[in-house]
Amino acid sequence: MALDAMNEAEDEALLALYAAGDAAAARLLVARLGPRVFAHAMRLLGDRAEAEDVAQEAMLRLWRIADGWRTGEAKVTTWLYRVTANLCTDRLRRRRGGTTPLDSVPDPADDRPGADAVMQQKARAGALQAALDALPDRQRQAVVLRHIEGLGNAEIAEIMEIGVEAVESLTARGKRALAAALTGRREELGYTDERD
Amino acid sequence: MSGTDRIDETPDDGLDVFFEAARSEAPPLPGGLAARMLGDAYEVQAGRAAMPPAGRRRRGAVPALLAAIGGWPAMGGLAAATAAGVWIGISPPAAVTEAVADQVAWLGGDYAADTWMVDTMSNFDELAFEIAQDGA
Repeated sequence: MALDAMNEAEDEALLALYAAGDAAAARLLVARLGPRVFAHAMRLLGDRAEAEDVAQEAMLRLWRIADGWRTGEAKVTTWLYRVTANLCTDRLRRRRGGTTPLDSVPDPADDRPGADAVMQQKARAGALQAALDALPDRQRQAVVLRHIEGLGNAEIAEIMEIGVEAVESLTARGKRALAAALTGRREELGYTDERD
Repeated sequence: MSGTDRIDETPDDGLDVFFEAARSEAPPLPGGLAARMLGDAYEVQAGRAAMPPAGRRRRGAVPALLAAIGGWPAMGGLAAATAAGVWIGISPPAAVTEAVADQVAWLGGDYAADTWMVDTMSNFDELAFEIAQDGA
């Protein structure tokens, strides 16, 4: 946690430097935050082109708010996760009227299990993404933040602007749905190897 | 682990290996996206730098107006000029009336004699007269 706090302080310090006109601070912020924002958008949207647009827009909003950023009030990453998720939600609503039922989870394209460990990891990640795509938006967001981004429930609650118990409920329901969707694929994806 | 993280203490549901795979397979930043992000950053930064320092401060409408016209001394001059204009309108000095008459004299005819029509306070004079009569 100390490392997280230090990183957060560095994010805020860099943002202040950027607001003061420091060009190097902009490069560092892109390097530190850009990949996280894009990866999060990619996991929520499951679409590369849309994730790129969202990531660029989220960072643009960060640049615009830099001048008025109030140090110590919110973490830069928390703010960015929230903006990214809201932008993704807008796109998902436009893309479809509701959520995709779990029955329609597609097989991951071109991700066939193989002996190679790298290919196996790719296949597992692809299968998980396909199952995530089928979750209701809020469940997907909570599961991604908790189990892939590795955030604590309190921070997720702040990002999603809900209570901690609601986060726990969303995460639990999301994991149950994921487990059900992936049960039949564990052996296919080499899951049993992990237990030998 | 905090009490709010008890959700992680549920029995192994077999998902950890998938989450681990997802973390290790984090999508890399697409080529060009970092450059576009940086381009936006510089553009916003340049726009900010183009503003004069005073313009970057948030301020209300009155201070903004004062700054636009040149501060309190300019506001004082503006107020004096406005008061003088109102006074001349209510009670034009003879010199003003004559000057206006000279300016419109070249029109000839009735125009030169109609300069009294610029006195927009004639109704006020009549009202003041009526009030004075009523009070008498």
